[in-house]
Amino acid sequence: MDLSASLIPGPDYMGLTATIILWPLGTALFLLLFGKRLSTFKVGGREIPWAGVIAVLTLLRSFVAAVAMFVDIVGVELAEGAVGHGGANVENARTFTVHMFDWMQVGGFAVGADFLIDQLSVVLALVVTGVGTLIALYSIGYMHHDPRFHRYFAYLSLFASAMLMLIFGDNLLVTFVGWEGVGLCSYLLIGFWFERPAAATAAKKAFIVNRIGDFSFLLGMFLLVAAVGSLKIEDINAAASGGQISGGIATIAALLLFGGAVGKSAQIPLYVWLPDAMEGPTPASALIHAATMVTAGVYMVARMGPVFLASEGDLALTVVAWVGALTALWAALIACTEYDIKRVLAYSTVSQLGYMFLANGLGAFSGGIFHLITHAFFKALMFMGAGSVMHALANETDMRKMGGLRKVMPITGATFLLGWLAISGIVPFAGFWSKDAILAAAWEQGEYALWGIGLFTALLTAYYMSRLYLRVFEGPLKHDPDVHPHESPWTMWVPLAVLGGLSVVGGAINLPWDLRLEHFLTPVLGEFEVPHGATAWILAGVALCVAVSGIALARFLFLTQRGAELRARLVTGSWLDKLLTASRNKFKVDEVYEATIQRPGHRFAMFSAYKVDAKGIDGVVNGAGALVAWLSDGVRRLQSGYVRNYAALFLLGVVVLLSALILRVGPLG
Amino acid sequence: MQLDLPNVELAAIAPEVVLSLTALLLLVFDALVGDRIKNGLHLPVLTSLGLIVAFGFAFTQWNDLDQTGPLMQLAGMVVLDGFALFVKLSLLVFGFLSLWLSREYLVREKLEEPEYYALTLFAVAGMMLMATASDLIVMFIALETFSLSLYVMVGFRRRSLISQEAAMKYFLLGAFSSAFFLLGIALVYGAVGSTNLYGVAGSGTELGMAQFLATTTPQGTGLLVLGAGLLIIGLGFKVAAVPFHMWTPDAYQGAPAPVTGFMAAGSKLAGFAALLRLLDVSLFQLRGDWQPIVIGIAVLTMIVGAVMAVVQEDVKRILAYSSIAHAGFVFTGILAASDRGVSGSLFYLATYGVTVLGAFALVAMLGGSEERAVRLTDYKGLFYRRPMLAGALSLLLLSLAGVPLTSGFIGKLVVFEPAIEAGFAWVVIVGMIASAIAAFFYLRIMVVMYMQKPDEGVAAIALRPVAGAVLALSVVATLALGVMPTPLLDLAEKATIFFST
Repeated sequence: MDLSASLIPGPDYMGLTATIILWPLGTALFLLLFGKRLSTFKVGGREIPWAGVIAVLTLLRSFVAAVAMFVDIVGVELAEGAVGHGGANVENARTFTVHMFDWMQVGGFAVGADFLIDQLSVVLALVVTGVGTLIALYSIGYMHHDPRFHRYFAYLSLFASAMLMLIFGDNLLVTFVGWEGVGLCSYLLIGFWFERPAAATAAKKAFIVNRIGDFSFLLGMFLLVAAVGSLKIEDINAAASGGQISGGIATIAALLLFGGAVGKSAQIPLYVWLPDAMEGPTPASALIHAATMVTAGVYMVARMGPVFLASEGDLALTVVAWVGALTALWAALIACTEYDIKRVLAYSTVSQLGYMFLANGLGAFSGGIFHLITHAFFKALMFMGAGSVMHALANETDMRKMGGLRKVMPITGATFLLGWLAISGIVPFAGFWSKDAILAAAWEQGEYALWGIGLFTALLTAYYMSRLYLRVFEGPLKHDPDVHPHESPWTMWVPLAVLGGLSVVGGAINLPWDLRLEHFLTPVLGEFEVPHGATAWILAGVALCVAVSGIALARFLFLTQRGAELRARLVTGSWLDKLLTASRNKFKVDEVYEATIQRPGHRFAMFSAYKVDAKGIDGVVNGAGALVAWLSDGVRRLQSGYVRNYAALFLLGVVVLLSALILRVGPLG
Repeated sequence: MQLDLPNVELAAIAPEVVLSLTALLLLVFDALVGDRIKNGLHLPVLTSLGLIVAFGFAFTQWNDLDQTGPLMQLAGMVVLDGFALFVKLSLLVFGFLSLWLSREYLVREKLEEPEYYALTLFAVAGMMLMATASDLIVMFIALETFSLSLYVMVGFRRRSLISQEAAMKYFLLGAFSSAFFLLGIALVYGAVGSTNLYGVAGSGTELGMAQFLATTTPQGTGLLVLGAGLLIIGLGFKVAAVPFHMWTPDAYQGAPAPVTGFMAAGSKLAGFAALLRLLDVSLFQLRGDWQPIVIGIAVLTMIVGAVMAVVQEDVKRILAYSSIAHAGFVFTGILAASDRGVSGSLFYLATYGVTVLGAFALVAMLGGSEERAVRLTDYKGLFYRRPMLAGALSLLLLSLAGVPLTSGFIGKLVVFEPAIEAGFAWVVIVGMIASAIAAFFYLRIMVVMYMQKPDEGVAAIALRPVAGAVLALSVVATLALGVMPTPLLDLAEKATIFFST
């Protein structure tokens, strides 16, 4: 039997898009409505709930459809010299628009439920559905004790649907619907255990901080509608690269859009929500707050590249690059001293997102997407590895109470090792290639300061990830004697193994062959220059040396006796001690925000509430209310219930109306 | 001598004929064999059949419109155009929804009689005739047909004094307003020499209002303007326009809740259909004269409806005043006197009808036996007792308040926008203020449902599958048309194909 024919609904993009986006949505609704009534079944003595199985199969179905779409797209002949983002005027033959229905039409302004299928959206759909499937499978094991199991999977499916809508959006409004949808799911999942005050607060914080970014995104959309008269991404990009938008407008629009990205992708100054978001279930953190949602900003900036490129004097791109580089450094500094295993990973995510924005800011959009993909592999892997550790240690997250776990959890340990080497930038693991591409692009453009920051951040990255790995998995066993760590069930370690494999070979997608990623994305995202020859080798060598030094430093400090003594000596009284303390306090950014924004805001709110509102506005409103009530009361007296009064008022109306008309038309006859 | 017989094209009013015949058949059938059928299911089934067949006829006519174009038929008495057919199809849908919602209620209250179904059918037929009439006499007959049916239906709770009183008031004031409508017809006849809305050579009626306005000088229109004013009064009564609205709260409160929903949806659509054709088509030339009147009515209606609803304690009365405010919003669409204004008004009325039918169906369900629980305090903590019902009612109320992503929002958008375009921005601003006031009492109901704890020992609420299904349909339609209004907007656009001379 031809299995592919029955699973894949032929090369019609309408059907495929509908499958990819709507199946998860349908599953989400189904689980929300009927999930509670679903039962469980037994495999090998383990209870497996149907709700989880349905969600995994749905995401798998979407993944298969995304693969089919990818195969179809690759089959389309591409004209020579198609370079996206205004690079050349050759049409990208691998672009398809799926028009589902006219959404709304007000006056001359029409928006359709349209979806854009091209190299970029298909590649990201593969990542979202692929990683999503693995994480859903993992969640079956991780969440199996939870009483709200079905609801978790409903949110997860809803998230996948919204994320795919965001990626496939052909106009900014559809993208924005997805953008808000993932924000909602993120809120719901961070606050999934809403009984815990910390979780509820973190969810609120994420929601509010994201709202700031979304507002900026909305303003950017309004400005683009005003300037271009369309929300269609292709129209906007064409107008931007065709010079129809002035440099000044393009700068403002680009910065407003970037404001949205800063919120969603947790960059300076709006990164503060992401570490707190770790209150949610760990697999949700892996999917939403590492692999997919937080990269939405990176995707959006890359997708809207021409608007950024059209900016006056490259101002917008410069801002993006510097915000990215500084975020990468800043978050890495904090990650070096954090003791909570999930928070280290969260700051690491913020830092890696900074790299992606650095790539975008350098105009190396496909480099940013490349890093996005490899990061999705190894960071999802490490989050789930951390989840596996927490699962084994009764939800312990403090690294100081861990150690030597590789001996009791061999699979988790081995896969985590792969993720660690990948993010540290060791050849030939995935992270090396993508990080190297970004640093090389910075060097080639003569942005040595950015290159230097990136390189130093790479050193820190290698150091703090080694610190994490070595503390948790190497050395002597340290956990509480009451808990008995054990390897996780197969539903949890199979995804770890798959992602571990991808962390090893993930870099290969950009090796020089026919479908190498950057080449594949060129018709959408344009090209960027990288050094060649000796420079390239030297740069790669330097990056590798830096990574190895970071690891060596960590190994010395955390695995050797002398290192431990040195640590003990260093952390008293020296300037380093002050720096470490500052880092450990997260540089008091939350406190600064509290003092500068939250408290004045609160004071302003109190002032508004008890002075302006209570005395001023309430006076007006109460006055208006009293007026309404007084009027109402007066008129109500007319509503006496007596027909004769009704008829009298009726007659009064007739008299007034006819008198007015007679006055108007004058004497009759 | 040659006898000039009018050509009787009964096919033109086939849907109305079908409904009337079904009603008669139903009465006879029930009298003969009704006793032998146990659960009385033949009544709604027969009625549904009639409505479905009528819908089939109307739908065929709607589809044929592309080939035939708008037609004037029956010696100039009716026209078949996109407008008439859109209204007819909407009314048939209202009738169908209302029928099944009513049945649950009638069974519960032990009021199920064949007359109720026959009256529903006659009412729908009369309402449909309102939209299709091209002669004031036909329009008057249509008006009386559905009014008389409604008078009886309002008083259908025979054991309830308040219902009897409501029917009596509605009837007396209805008769009162009919007199003005008739006087208006007389004045129009005096001015034009005919009661026709158009006047087409060779159609059996050469004289008519539109033809008169096309050929006369502005000075000669005085009598016609006065006649038009009286017609507006007569129709304004039906759609509950201020100051001809006084019957509305009493009648809405007294009538059985499903009948209230049917009145709010159906008689508003029928009355406005007549007003739209009369003002925006036949008297288009006179818009300078009638627009000030309509502005006055619109502003008063929006404000009085919204303000009065604020102090009500009875949910049915709140919704009654809300329906008055909604009539005001539709008047802004009429005021624009443009195709977009007409299609906007039709969209508004169609979506409002579906929403309000659902809302009153819920009021009927929640009211319990003999509608004892219809006060605001009876809705306390509904969310904790029946979360799904509370959710459904909240959604319908949000739509009535005009919150985005519901059909009510789109409806307000498409009636306000043409009015602004036609230069009546300040009327729209008044409308927005009225909406803001109105939001208060919709939210007030929701606050009571969600934020107060339910009393101990309240009676359980029964939700039967059929009513539940129809209710779900209404909720889904309200949401779907808010998210994706384009299909219905396209249909409403086709409905601006008017017969014209």
